[in-house]
This record gives sequence, C-alpha cells and structure tokens, in this order.
Amino acid sequence: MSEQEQLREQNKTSDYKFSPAANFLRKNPLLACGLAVSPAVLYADTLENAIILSMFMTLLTFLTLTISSFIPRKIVYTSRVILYTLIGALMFVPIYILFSKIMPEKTVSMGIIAPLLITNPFIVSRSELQFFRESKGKMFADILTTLAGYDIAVIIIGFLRELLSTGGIGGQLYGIKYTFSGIGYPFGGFLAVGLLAAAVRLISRLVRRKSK
Amino acid sequence: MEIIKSIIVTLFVMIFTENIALSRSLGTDTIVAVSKNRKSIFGFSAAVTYMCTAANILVWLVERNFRNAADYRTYQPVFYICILCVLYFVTIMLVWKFMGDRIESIRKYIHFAVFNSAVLGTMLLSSVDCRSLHEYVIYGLGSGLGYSLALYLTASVYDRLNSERVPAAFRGYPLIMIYLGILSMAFFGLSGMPLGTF
Repeated sequence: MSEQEQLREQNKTSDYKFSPAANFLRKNPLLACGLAVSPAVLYADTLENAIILSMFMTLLTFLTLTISSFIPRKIVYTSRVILYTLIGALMFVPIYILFSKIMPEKTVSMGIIAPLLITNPFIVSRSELQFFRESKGKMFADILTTLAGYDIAVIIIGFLRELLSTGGIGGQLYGIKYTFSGIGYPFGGFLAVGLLAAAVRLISRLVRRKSK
Repeated sequence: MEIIKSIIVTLFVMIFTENIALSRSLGTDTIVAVSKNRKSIFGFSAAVTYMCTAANILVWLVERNFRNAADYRTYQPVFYICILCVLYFVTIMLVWKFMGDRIESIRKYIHFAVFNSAVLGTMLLSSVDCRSLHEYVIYGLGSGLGYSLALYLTASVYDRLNSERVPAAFRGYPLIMIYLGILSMAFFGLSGMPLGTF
C-alpha cells in the first residue's frame, strides 16, 4: 500500500477524539503529555520569563501551523515535515525582530530557547498526528486550546518557581521565610513539572469521578 | 598530544557536567517517549549521536562563511533548520537505499532524532563554544553520547517508575520528571557549583 493510501486509511479510522476542553487539564500538553518540556524547565524560572515564553511559543506555533495546514496532503510525509519546519524558521525571523523591538533585553536573555521553539513537538509531530486530521474549524479550536493549556501550565510553573526560589514575584517580596533557590535551576524545573503533573492528574481524576 | 587531551576532556565534560539532557534539559520529551521501548534505545541513541555530529560539521561550514555577517544571529536558526532538513532528507534516502523495506519501521525514529531540541540545541551551543572543525565534531559526538546516557538511565528504570506499586497520580510521566530532576541535580553537582550555605 502506498504512503498516501495508508494515510487515507489512517484518516478514516483515527483514534483521536476531538475534545478541546481536555487540553487544559486531562490532556494538558505540558503536564499530561510531556510536550515541549525543555523550554519550560530551562527558561520559565520566573513569572515574567514564563509569560514571554508562552507569548513567543503561541505566536510562532499558531502562525506556523496555520500556514502549514494549507500544504496539500498528497506531498509525501518526509517533504511535508521539512516544509513545516522551514515555515517555522521563516516565521521565527519576523517574530524575533518584533520581540527584539518590544523587549530587547528579554529577547537576548532568551538565548537559544527562542530558536529551539521552531522544532517544538506541536509543529513537528502533533500537526500530523492530530491537528491536520481535523476540519479547519476544529483544527483552529484544537490548536488554540492546546496552546492555551500549555501557556497556562508554563505560567503557573514560572509563578511557583519564582515565588519559591526568591520569596516574591517581580522583586516584590511576600514575607516567605524559607526559600528554595535550587528550584530556579533546571533540576528544580524538572521537579516542579513532575509535581505539578501529579497534581493535575489527581485533580482530573477527582473531576471525572465527580462528573460520573 | 594536546589535541588528544582536549578531546578526552571535552568528551568528559559533554557527557557528564554539561550533559545536553540532564544539565541543559534539551531533548527530554523524546527521552520520555522513547524510553518506553527498550528495544529502540540503542538505535535511537545512535541516530541522535549521528545527527548531532553530522549537523555540527555542517554548522562549522556555515559559521566559517557567515559568522561575521550583519544580523546573522537573527537568521542563524533559518540556516540551521535548512541543515536539519538536508540531513533528514539525506538520511531518509540513505536508509531507503540500504535498508529498503525496513524504512517504515525506522522512519519515525529518524524523524524524532532529527527534529529534536537536543540536536538543534547542540548546534546552537556549539556555534558559541567551538571554532575549529575538530571542536565541532567532538562537541557533537559528546552531546550525542551524553543524550544516550540520559536515555539509557531513564529507560533502565522506566518499568519501575510505571509499576502498579507507584501511586496512580505519580505513575509514569510525573515520576519520570522527578527522576530526571534528581539525576539532573546529581549531574549538576559534578560541575562544582556551590549551593547556598545555611
């Protein structure tokens, strides 16, 4: 069976069920599915950084996926993935220039994190596995809710890491006596993601039990 | 002799103190995904190591010619993504030529190995730290080997982290993240950074 015939079969009998509300809790891309962990762990160590990361990620991913959704499926899979990442790289340039104009120091401080977002899993794998198998309306709803779920998770992680590592947010202290400076390091990011992921799983199980 | 010493030291640093997955937390989503299947660890690690090394050789070529160009840092990711796309295409062609029918089972691993934050991260970091060709090659090789070590360490305990004895809220992904955090802390200690005293 040729690759295109295989894809047509897969599209007919996809196991994926469209449920945009689940992207916030049960299928949260960061806390449940483990997608794009590296930027959250490395860069979201303060609330401000987390907000900047979520803005950059959302803008880049949404624009890349929107344009990539118009690439015809009859092009072979290998070439499609190459095109998605090339589109991501081309979208990166104007977004980076825009961020450099609005917040130049913060954009420089992002370092390698900004270009790493080009090959994020939403563009490279989720696009083919999930988004581009849906109709355009459902696809946009799914992309926006997935990105919103990711952003909320990143912002919560940034907030908690800054609060616990410095005792305050944005230089404003809140009288927290004991701080854990290690949580600002990458290993602290892993621990924060792991603990929050466990909390999200517990909450979604409780919510499901209550709704039954 | 000096080159051999620098090769050994660079490899040691890249595998342990500057481990691409545990110290810099790059490529961790693919570690979590691939560590489920022990049979694919060796192949995937080899693919990532090959990608890091081959990509770094091409990065050296690009950096030689464009490093001093105006606004290079803004357009640098475009060059690097082009390098990854060329590598992906060439690798798929080579695998198809030499392995024929087995390409279907291997292709998704090549896909994850190329478009991986560990590979792109290695390219970006080496453009800052390296100058000569042998430095780029050793940097890429060390990154790939460090990634392979992190993948092996995670895969070797995956069954235990996913067992029935672990509370349901922590089973699988949450506990893997906590495990990676503890490993990362251990590797961080190798870098000799002093923590605050009480």
